[in-house]
Order: sequence, then structure tokens, then C-alpha cells
Amino acid sequence: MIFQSLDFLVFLIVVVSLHWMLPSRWRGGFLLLASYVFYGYVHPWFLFLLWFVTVAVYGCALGIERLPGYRKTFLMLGLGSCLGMLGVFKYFHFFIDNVVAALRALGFDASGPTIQIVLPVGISFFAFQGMSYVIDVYRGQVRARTSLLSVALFKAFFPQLVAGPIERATHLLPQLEARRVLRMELMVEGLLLLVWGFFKKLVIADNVSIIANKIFLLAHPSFPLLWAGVLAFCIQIYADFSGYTDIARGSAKMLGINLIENFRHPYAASSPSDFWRRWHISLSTWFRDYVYIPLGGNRDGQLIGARNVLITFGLSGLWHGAGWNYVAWGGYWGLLIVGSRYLGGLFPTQMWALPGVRLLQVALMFVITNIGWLLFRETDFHALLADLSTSPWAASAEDWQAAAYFACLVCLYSIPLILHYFVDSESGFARPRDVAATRSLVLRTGSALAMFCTILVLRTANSGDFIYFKF
Amino acid sequence: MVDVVDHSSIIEEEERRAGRSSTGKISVGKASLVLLTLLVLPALIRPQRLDKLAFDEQTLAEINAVRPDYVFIGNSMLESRIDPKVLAERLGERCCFILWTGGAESAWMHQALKNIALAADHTPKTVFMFFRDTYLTQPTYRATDRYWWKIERLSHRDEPELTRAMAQSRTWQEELEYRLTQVYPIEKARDRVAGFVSWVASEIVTPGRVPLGGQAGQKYDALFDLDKLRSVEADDTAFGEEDLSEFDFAGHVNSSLLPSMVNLAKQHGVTLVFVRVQRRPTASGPPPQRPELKTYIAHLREYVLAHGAQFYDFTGDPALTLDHYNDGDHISAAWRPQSTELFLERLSGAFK
Repeated sequence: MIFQSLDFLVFLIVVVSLHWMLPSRWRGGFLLLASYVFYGYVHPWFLFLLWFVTVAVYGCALGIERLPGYRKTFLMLGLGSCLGMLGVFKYFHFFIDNVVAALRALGFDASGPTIQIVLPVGISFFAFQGMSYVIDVYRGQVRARTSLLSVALFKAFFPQLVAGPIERATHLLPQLEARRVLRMELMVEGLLLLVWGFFKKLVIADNVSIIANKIFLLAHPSFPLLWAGVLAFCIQIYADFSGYTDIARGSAKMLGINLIENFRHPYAASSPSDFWRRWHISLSTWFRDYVYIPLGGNRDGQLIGARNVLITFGLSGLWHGAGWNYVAWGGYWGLLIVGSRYLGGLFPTQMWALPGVRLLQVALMFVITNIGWLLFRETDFHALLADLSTSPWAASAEDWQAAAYFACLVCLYSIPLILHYFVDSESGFARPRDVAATRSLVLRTGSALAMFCTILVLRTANSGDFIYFKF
Repeated sequence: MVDVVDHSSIIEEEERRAGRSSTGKISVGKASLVLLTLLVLPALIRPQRLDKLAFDEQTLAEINAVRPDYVFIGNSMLESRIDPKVLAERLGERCCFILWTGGAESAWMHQALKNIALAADHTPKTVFMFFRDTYLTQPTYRATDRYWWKIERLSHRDEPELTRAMAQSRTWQEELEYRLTQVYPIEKARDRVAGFVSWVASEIVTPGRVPLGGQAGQKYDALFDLDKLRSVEADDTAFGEEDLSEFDFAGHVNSSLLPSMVNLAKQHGVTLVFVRVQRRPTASGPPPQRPELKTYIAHLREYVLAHGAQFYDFTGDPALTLDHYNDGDHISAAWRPQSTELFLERLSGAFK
């Protein structure tokens, strides 16, 4: 079931209402059932994968705790189940295509199998969540649950199932197991997040995606048009993914559950490391805790630290998609982080406190981020090379004018995101008194109402899938 | 071993960060009030009710001026395949009339047949309908928002066949949306507001060039002509896990507008020819077709022939190779004259 459908709205109203009407002890089972309906709504067979991961991580976590002599074996089994499933459903074609290409390059007459494997939505998200549970149990950070229902609900809880945030057992499991109380504050907050999420997706992301898709369909876009398209994609992917997260967090709040924040105004980042502290936080912290730090982090000197960063970001790129452009995108960020660590040390610390420097850093980071989005968006490697070699001098006056028009349109649609940045307490711009004022019921109802009306009037005729669904 | 984070501490931490304290149990009254406000107020402050779009008298006047024997109806599939200049050279200057609009599908084609081609002073001998795969039995496909306005422009106030087909084919979600938009014409307001946003962008870049209400983005359309787009594989070459119900011809035909099309043609003594275009082929041959689609097309052909119309399928035509295609299913502009010649050759019997 997709969030931006009437089916989901009806589903959510029914689930939230019944959830609070039911006695507390039945709520877990009911939420699990609802989550399975949500996930199996279009393709019921996808549920088998979810059940497979659930049973695998449940059994392995118990094995780790109860059979200390086989802890490592169960850990490997748990990780292998999740990674194996990912390997088959997400990376099989990528692997075969590359093997075939390599064999052909060596002069062999090779061809790949013609079987089609459908990528189940959200597979990367629930595989990673499963792995984190097994690792956390192995590390002793969380108890292995004896209740299959608890683990199953942790794996399948519908708001975060398809595109995160990638919740940790330490955060979500205790909430799912606790007795939840219906509270006005959480309900209103949830509703507001829901409306804001839908606004970001249906008004901002879908409208700017029309521009991005149009420009990326051009065989040879001129320099200004290409970068207007990248700018559109930059806004689209943020509004789309953070919109999804807000809808997920809003839905969960209405059920009395707090999901972790996944975005903190990423385009206000002042360095590559800062960007990753603000963008897809649940994934970057996952890679930090389960890949980067176990590899040694930066404990063993700059060179090994740089290697660890590159491996972590390369894998993070591959997590996004089975394509070399995603690996290149991950590598690009890895190099930026290594480079910024090195370059940052060359400047005196007082320099960063000078007026205007932060603004310059943010502007530079925005340009750097956009170059990254070009690598991410352009899945055809030859087209990417052609894009990168486009010269601004070859563009006509009409190209520049059209690009300015499209960039302006993108900026107009982005105004609500900019306003949100300035009123949000996280940004550091809003005074505490103003933040408190935004909590008044009248103001919140008014802004939700304005967003709701704008959604009705400005949503596009055909809303596309959330970008991160395909990961 | 114990869990590191405890639920109550998470909530407290969030509340502390948000600068507030716990508010206790929910007031059902307040919650209902918020919900009702959210649902009802937008309806009360609805945009000014806009009436049905006026019927397109201009197109009717144009066809009356031409008095064609052959009428072509379709969308960009038709436009990219048939060159009016070649038609004029081969069949005569005022012999043909092409009725097309971008993205149009069976509901628009039905209205074009009924209210333009067959409503003209001079009844044509033959009407060619260009279509792709299963769209003839999907009247609701591309029949919302701006596509609906195109249909509305070719419709009179009372259109019982169209109304029936739409009512029978809409899903509950489409029906709900349709009912809502009947009361509150949101999509028309949407066009105005989106148009205004585009106009503001245009005013910032090139002040005074486009009047308010004009189509600001259209002046850049030439930059996105079909021959400037990159080649993409046709959607149906990848057999995914899609809904197979669209291939159920028997299940859809009676609720579609196809029976009305063949009946209208019969009543007016017009030969109706359904022309199925070939989707983008592969480098080695025709486009792959799933078995369900082949069965559907066989049933469609049978139905059309049984009801006195004609059927021609370009799928698998050896003359239509990959290099003649531009993007997805469109023929390249350079090959359009040859495509028209090919059409005239393959359907020469229809012009006797």
C-alpha cells in the first residue's frame, strides 16, 4: 500500500481508531495484522520474505543468547539470512551483468540468465533492521525477545516498514511492548506531521519532479538546463524522502509510537560530515555503528581511517541501488569526507568563526551536494560522462533563459521548506518564544488547514512512487 | 543484559526538547474538533465553482470546412506516425482530417468520433482510430484532471454513453475523487494556481512576456521536442508484477466505450478501422508481448470484425525497426513521411 493513496488514508483511520478502542493486550497483535495487510496489499507473496527475515532474526537472536558457545555461528547465520535475501532479490542481476560483461571483455561468449526477479519494496530497509537486531543482541545491547510477536511487530511495524527510518531494537522494541496511552499532544503532533509529509510529497516533490524528469529525458541537455534539472532533483529527493519519513513518523505518533528523526535540514549543512549528520540519519548512523566503527573508525591513523570511510560510503552507495552510479555516489561522498577532514586541519580554527564563513560553507556544500545528486540521478554511466563534459559556453541564450525559468519554479515550490527551516527549533534560527508560539492549537490547526488546501489545489495529477521505495 | 533505552525516557526526552510537559489524556472533543476543522473547512472555502468547459465548436467548424472522406483519430502515437503533407500529396489536399491530442485515450477518442467526425456536415467514408494495446477497453485511463478537460471540450451537457462507461469502470477511489470534484472543482482551481506559480517564475526571468493566465512554460516546449529526447525502452518490454486484470477483454468490453464506437460507425454507415500501433521493438525484432496481451488482442480483433469494423495490427511489421523509433513508442520525426507511406501501403484497401 502506498502512502499517497486513498486506500492508505482509509486504512490509517481504521487502524488508529481500532487500535485505541482495543484493550491494551490485543494492540500488538492487531498492529502486526494491520502491518501485514499494509505490506501484502498489492503483492501478498512479499510477506513470505518478511516472515523469513522475522523468523531468521528471531531464532538467531535467541540462539546467540541461549547458546553462548555458538554465538558467532548464530550471528553469521542471522546476518547471512538478511544479506542472502538482499543478494538474491536486489543484487543478483547486478552481479550477473557484471560477470557477463567481464567475461565478454576477456573474449568469452557469455550471456546471463533471462529470469526476472522482482525487487520487493523496502527490502533493504527491513534487511538492515533485522541485521541491527541480531548485532545488538550479540553485543549485549538488547535482550533477545522470547515473544515472536514482539520481534515480528518490530520488523513489520507498517509506518517504517517500506522506507524507514531504520529503527533500532533499543529504541522501537520497548515502545512496542509498553502499554501505550492515548494522548492529545501525540495525536495532534502526528496529524501535523502527516499533513506536512503529504504536503512535501504531493505539492513540492511531485511538482518539481516534473521538471527534473523532463530535463533528464533530454538526450543532450545543455549545461544550464542540466543543472536546473539537478536542482529540481535535489529538492525532489529531499521533499520526497523526508515527506515519507514525516508521514511515517506522523502515523506512528498517532499510534503512540515515536520513530527517530531521519532529517535535520540537510541542505543547511556546512561540511560533508555535517550533511551526513542531517541526511538519512538512521542509515548513516547504521553504517557508522555497524560498519565504520567495527572496521576501526579513525583509531588507527589517517590512512586507515580514510580507507574505512571509503569502504563505508562505497557500501552505503551500493545499499541505495545495484548500479555503479550509486557506488560512484558513495565514493564521491567518501572522498569528500576524507578530503574535508584533511583540508579542515589546514585552516586555523578561528577562521570558521568569522562572519559570513558559515554561509559560504553552506553555499559551497549545496553545490557539492548537487554534484552528488547528478551521480545519483544519472543511472546511465555514458550519459553521466556526457553530462559532466557539457560546457556552459555551448548553451544558447534560450537554454539559459529556460534554465532560469525552471530554477525559479523550483525555488518557488521550495519556499515552504525554507520557511520551515527558519521556524524550526532545530535550525537554531527560531527563538524559544517563537517555537513555543508555534505550538498553539489554533496556529497548528491553521497551518495544517493551509497545507491541506494547498495539497488539494497543487498536487499533481499523477503522483509518482516515493524514490526510496525502490531501495 | 538490559535494554539501553527505556520508552518513557524517550518520550520525556522528546518533550523536553520540544519545550513542553506531558498534557495527560486526550480530549475526544478537542480531537474531533481538529479533525472536523481539517475536513470541513477546505470544503467551505472552496474555490469559485466553475462550469463545464465549452464545447470545441472551432474543431467542428474546421472539419466542416474540409469535408474529409478520411478522418484519423488518436494521440501522439498517431501524430508521430502520420504526416499530413504526405497524406495530402497522396490522397488529395482536402481529403483527410487528423484529430489528435497529446495523451488522449479511448474516452477522448469516443467523443471525437461521436461529436466531431460523425457530427460533421459531411459524413466521412472511413475513420481510423490509432490505439495502443489494451487502452480501448479502459475508458478511465487518462480521463482525469487535464485529460478530462480535453474530453469535456468534446462533450455536450448530456453524454449518457460516456457517463455510463465512466461510472461502470471507475474504482471506488476514482469514483470518490470524481464525486468530490463534481462538488468542488478542485482540479480547475489547481490549473489556475499552478499556472499562477509558473507565471510568477516567468515574470521573474522575463518580465512582461507572458500575460497572467497564459501558458508560461509553453514557450520552452521546443527544447523538449521528441527528437531531442533520449531513447527509452517501452514500458511493456519489462514484464513486472503488474495487475493482469487489464488483459481480461470479456470482463471489460461491455463497460467500455468500444461497443458505442462500433455502433455509432454502423449507424452512420462509416467504416471504422482500428489501427494498433507497434510499441518500440528491440534491436533483434518486434517488441516482446506477454501471452495475456496476445490473447487480449485476439479477442479484440474478433470482436471488432464481428461488429462490422476493421482491424489492423502493425506489431511485428518487419518494416518497423528500432532505428525508426524516437523515444518509447513514438516514431522519429525524420521517419514520419516513410511511416505514412507504409501506412498507406499496408491499408491500401481502406482507401478504395
